[in-house]
Amino acid sequence: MRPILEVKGVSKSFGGVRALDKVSLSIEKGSIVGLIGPNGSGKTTLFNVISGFYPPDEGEVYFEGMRIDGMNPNEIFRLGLVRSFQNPRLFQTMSVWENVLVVPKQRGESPLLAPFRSRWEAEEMKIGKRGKGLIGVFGLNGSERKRASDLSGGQMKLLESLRGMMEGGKLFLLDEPAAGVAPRLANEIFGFIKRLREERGLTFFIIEHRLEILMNYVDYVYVLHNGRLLAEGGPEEVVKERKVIDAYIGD
Amino acid sequence: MIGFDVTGFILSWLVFFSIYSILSISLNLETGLTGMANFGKVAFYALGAYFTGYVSIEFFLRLHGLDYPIYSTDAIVALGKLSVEQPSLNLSVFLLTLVGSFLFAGVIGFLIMLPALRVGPAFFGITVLSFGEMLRIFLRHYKPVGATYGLVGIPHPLAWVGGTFSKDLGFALISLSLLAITYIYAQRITNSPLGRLLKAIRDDETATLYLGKNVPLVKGKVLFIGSGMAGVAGCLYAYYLGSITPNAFMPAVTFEVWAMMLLGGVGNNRGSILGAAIITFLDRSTAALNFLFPNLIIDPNFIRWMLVGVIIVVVLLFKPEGIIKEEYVWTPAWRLLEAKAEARRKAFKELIGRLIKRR
Repeated sequence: MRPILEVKGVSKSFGGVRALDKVSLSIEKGSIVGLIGPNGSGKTTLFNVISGFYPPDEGEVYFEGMRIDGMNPNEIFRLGLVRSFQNPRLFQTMSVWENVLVVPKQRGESPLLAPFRSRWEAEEMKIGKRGKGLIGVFGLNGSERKRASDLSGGQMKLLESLRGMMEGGKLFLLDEPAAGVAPRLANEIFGFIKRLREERGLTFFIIEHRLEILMNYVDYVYVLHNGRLLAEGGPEEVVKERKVIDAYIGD
Repeated sequence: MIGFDVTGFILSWLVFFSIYSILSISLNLETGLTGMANFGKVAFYALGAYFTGYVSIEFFLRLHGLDYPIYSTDAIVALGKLSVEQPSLNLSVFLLTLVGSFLFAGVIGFLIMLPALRVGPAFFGITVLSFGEMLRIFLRHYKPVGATYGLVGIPHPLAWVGGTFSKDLGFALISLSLLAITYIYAQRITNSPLGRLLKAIRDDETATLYLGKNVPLVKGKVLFIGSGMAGVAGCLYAYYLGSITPNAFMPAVTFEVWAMMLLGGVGNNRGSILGAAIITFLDRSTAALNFLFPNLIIDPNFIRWMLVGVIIVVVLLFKPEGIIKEEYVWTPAWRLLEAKAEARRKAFKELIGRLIKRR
């Protein structure tokens, strides 16, 4: 079977800085893959290229066999590739409930149909029911009426991932899902990710700094350093590699 | 002291209230809900007014086979005579220009999005602000629409009605009903999935894009509707005054509308109407003051500009959310949450009932 995500020889430069240099990797469906590397090694840039924030200078990106480099972020999302951000990007003035409901594309978003409730009410209720179910799964019950800006840091992370799942996400690019979260809660979040993988067959590609947490949950790890792929392999092998240790601690 | 015409004052206030409410609702749609700082509202107001003035005058003159230049005395005299002859012509031209100015201003509003997309969100305000000023200066120098003289003798849709009072009352009612349509439409889309999407774009444009929404297209549609509404307001303005000049469309008009939206409350349509009511009342009152006390040291007309400035500063300092606070977008999906609370309440009542029975 073809991998769900394939990155082939992707490069990206900003001015004179080569942020990504011929990076190639592939991710199997239903796996949890980690992406590690020191600060400035190009991890977020790689996510930005895959999710369509900017096109690569060279190379190709395939999602489920379909070439997606050069597509817009909104088109890529519709294919089922969801990303989260290092700092959760919620709709701050809106309630948790609206944050969830806003995701699926629906007829009521058309300026011509929006004034006529009967034309979109059924669809809206269907979305609401799905949202209610997911809110239960993510343990956010009772917070629906809260403003998103009033949530705790961990809840914000959860809400952001929940939003990504509202519309058939298959592959999730998570940029530090447990950053700034206490270690116990971080383990909970990763445990949750693992459960989602097992129950729903979802695929995750995760940037994380805290290797000691990440190593317990991932199947495979890619290491980036100065825009190049430095190493790859199972978590135990990778952390033992001399060059990875050197890259993290410095020569 | 000359007698003060109270009904005349109220009717004139009602017309201005409707015109400015339509403007502030449209600004609220673009700025309050979608987060695009539209500093060029006046441009679309002017487009609607000029479209109406030009098309209605041309229509009346050419239909009667007259080819006077548009701002000549002959034309104005002829228009005065023609406009009282055929009520059906007046009304059909009114409808034509009403729909026309919506579409005309709307399409240009949509097209403005194309250059604005290239400069990025932060410069959108500057782009439309300069577009408005450029349009005004262009109109000042463009002979076919009267240049500095503007358009004079725009045939009033109710010119054939005998008596100023019934004519003004009729026009006030037309304006109010257009305001009602605008308000109902705006209110309905605010409380719909579309309203939710617009607020999402306002809160975080990038995140909205990453949730699969075609943000530029949505913004373009909003600009089409908002600019079209401003065009309708311009249409009413042109007919009400019967003459328009380029200098009526200074950037200050935009900021007056901004003051209305900020005062009433950003992100809610009722607030926009309340703000418009307060500020147009002040505006009409200063105009009345001018009439009652012609020998004041300060021209009362300038007092209103000071008031607008003071209102913007005071509101932003002490009550940034405005008089009426923004609410969550209400859609039927909220009932799903209530259903649970309702069930809990019911279960609690039953429990109490059972406890009482047991005793």
